[in-house]
Amino acid sequence: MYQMRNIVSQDCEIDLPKCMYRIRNPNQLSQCFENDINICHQIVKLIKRPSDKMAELEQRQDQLLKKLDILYDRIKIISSICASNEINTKVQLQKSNKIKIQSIPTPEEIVLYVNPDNLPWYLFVFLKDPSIEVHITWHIHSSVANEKKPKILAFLKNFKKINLNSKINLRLIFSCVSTDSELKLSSLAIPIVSSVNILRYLSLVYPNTVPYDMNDHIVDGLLDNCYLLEKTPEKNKDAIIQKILVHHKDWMYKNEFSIVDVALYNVVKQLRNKPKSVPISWFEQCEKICN
Amino acid sequence: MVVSEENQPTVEGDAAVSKKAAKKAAKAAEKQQKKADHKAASGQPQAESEPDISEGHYGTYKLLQSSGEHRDRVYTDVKDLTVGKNGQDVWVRARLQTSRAKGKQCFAVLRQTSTTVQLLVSVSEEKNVSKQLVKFVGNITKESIIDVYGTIVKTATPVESCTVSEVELVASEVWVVSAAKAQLPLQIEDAARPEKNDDPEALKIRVNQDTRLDNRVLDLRTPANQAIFRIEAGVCRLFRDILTKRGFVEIHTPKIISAASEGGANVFTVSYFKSSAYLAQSPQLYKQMAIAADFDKVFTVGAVFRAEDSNTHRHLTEFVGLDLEMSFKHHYHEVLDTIGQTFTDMFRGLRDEFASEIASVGQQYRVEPFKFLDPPLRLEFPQAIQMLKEAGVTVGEEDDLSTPDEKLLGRLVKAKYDTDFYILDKYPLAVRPFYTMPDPNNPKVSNSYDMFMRGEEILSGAQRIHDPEFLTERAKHHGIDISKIAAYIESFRLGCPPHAGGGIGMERVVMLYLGLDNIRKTSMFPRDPKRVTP
Repeated sequence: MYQMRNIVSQDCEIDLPKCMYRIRNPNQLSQCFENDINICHQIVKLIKRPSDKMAELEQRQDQLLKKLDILYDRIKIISSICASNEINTKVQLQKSNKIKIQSIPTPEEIVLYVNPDNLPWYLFVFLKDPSIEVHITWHIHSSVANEKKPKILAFLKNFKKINLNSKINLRLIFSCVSTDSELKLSSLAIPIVSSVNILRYLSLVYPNTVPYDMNDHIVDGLLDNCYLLEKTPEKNKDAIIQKILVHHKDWMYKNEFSIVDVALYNVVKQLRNKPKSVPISWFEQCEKICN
Repeated sequence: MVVSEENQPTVEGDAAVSKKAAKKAAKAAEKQQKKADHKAASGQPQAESEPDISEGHYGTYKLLQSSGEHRDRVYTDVKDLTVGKNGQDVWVRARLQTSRAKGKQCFAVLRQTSTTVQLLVSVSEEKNVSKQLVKFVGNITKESIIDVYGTIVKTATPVESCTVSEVELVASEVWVVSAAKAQLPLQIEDAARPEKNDDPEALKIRVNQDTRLDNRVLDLRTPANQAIFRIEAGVCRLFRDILTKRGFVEIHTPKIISAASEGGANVFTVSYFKSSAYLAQSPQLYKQMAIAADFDKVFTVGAVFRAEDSNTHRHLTEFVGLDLEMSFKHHYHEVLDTIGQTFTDMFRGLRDEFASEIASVGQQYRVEPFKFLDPPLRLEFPQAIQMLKEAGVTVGEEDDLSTPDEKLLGRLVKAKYDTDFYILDKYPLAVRPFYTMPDPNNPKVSNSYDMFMRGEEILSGAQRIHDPEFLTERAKHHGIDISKIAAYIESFRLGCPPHAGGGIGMERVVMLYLGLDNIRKTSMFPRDPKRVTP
């Protein structure tokens, strides 16, 4: 039924008994049994015998155990750092906003699927940042009708920066398979779906470009409303915009430019008729930043 | 053979067989007797006494030898029978796909290429349609070619079994042009039945690939096959049109050659007067010579022969090669981009111009539509290795991809980029032929590329070495006998521009574009190690 893989081959033969069960002869009590073969003793002897292959296997095992020890130590260090991080989160977050770091590692090739009716205007905010070096390539998927091509090509004209030396390659694929935008980091990973969530990811990768305090539940609530806004039919959009505008002064939240402004701007920019409730001065400010 | 799901009755022995046979024979004889009695009692005198009002309106044409009759007759195509022509009388020439006569009516289906329409023959004094005419139509063998004169009539409910569903043809004249034999080797309905059907009660009778190929003329009449070979024609036309627009010149290379073009293996030898010659296994050498002769950009469409004993779903011993070669100014990517864009334009052309044909194929062979990107996706070999590694498959930097690796990579690429077509660039030099130009920046890598459709390789190409000295050096490195390729090396001694190219198999491209499982489905009369007929 099952076959075992031969890892170390032993050329030594072991004497095995020739029958399965042996019945003691009650009439010849004193007679010695044939099962003096003593298999256990034979195997112990065989294992103790010096063997190159066995030694190699043991060595490999030792190395693996050592590596596991190192791994265990590292995990312990990481978990202790995380524990201390939890205590000082707020303080550190405030600091981290000021320091230019990439908090999330990014793969060399990122694929962003966008529907021609839901273009990623938020990308320009990141591309305008001179510290972000991204090489952008684009493709039009076969699901896109020929009539939509002029709109895509007009959008692509806005990409002025081509950075061939950049390590990160962003592939934009204009596709009509789904209305949602999708960000794929690998063939096997689950994609990040919708513009708002992609914006969340990008803001975490580039925290200095678009401020995003992921621990502020109000920000996430506003972003969720932006997500709803993206999905809602045009006639119902005004009601959701009103909800987002609750904290609005010059900017959408805390009177400073944040991820919420970019998310809302991205939805409003797609609309043919801009809702009356959208403040004109705010939209113009966003246009300057996102274009 | 027609594969049927029906179970054969259990046979218990010779005795049982003979008993049953005897019973059957007795019943048949009884039936015959009853029929004869019935005819004698009523039928015959009535037929004799009843005048045939349709006389001269039906029958079988004498052998058409272009004697000049009916030259003024105007025929209408089945696809043109529309509601707008309701009430019009027309002549139609089509095949009789099926017929069902019952009493005073006969329903039939007429087929012209892939288009079908319902034909109604009904006894009518007004239209001079007699019972004899109805009976005549009911007796016409399936697949016969007939001429029908009838009226286009709008149907109350759409005829779902026909492609022309809103109208039917009510016949007043029916003539047999060419009769098919009564016993057909396969039924078109069986050959056209969808391979997968969700309906559990649907008939599961299918026709084997070999039966289809043995009776190819009949098999080719199915809507899917009609569509496949129209799409194939489209591939050739688009390939020609796109390249011609890009300034390529079509050339014709010899198919009888004196020496094997790719190493010498896998060639068919033919006797050539007092010596022997080979059938060309690639037009590559001639394409390159055309480049050396200042044709700049060339392509060729023609038969290619491979004496490979490969009995797989994707190998043929004779296929149509679509090959191109192009000189470039500074970088072979000029050629790579041209080939890639040619493919994309071709796929777009097929999508836009052959939508109904693709749908026809999809009805029988349910496959996902072909997806592609414009401009096409180009990945480099190390990227592919990395993607495979992420999926748990380790391939060495200088190893070639095996067929399962290619399949897996195709699925990974589809998952990430949603495309069935992609280009893999910068193959390891070690796995490419001697004439491939090495990468100037990495001696282990070459300026070569493969193109894939649905995870299967369709094109292999490269920048060719155009310097005779370097070519000799590379050939020696590969252990190739220089004397055997002297003519090839010699062709570069008169000055040759840097160039690159590649070639594809037309049948393989059509197979993969449509997502079919066997290349024999896209070759009209396929040739493989086991088949040289019909």
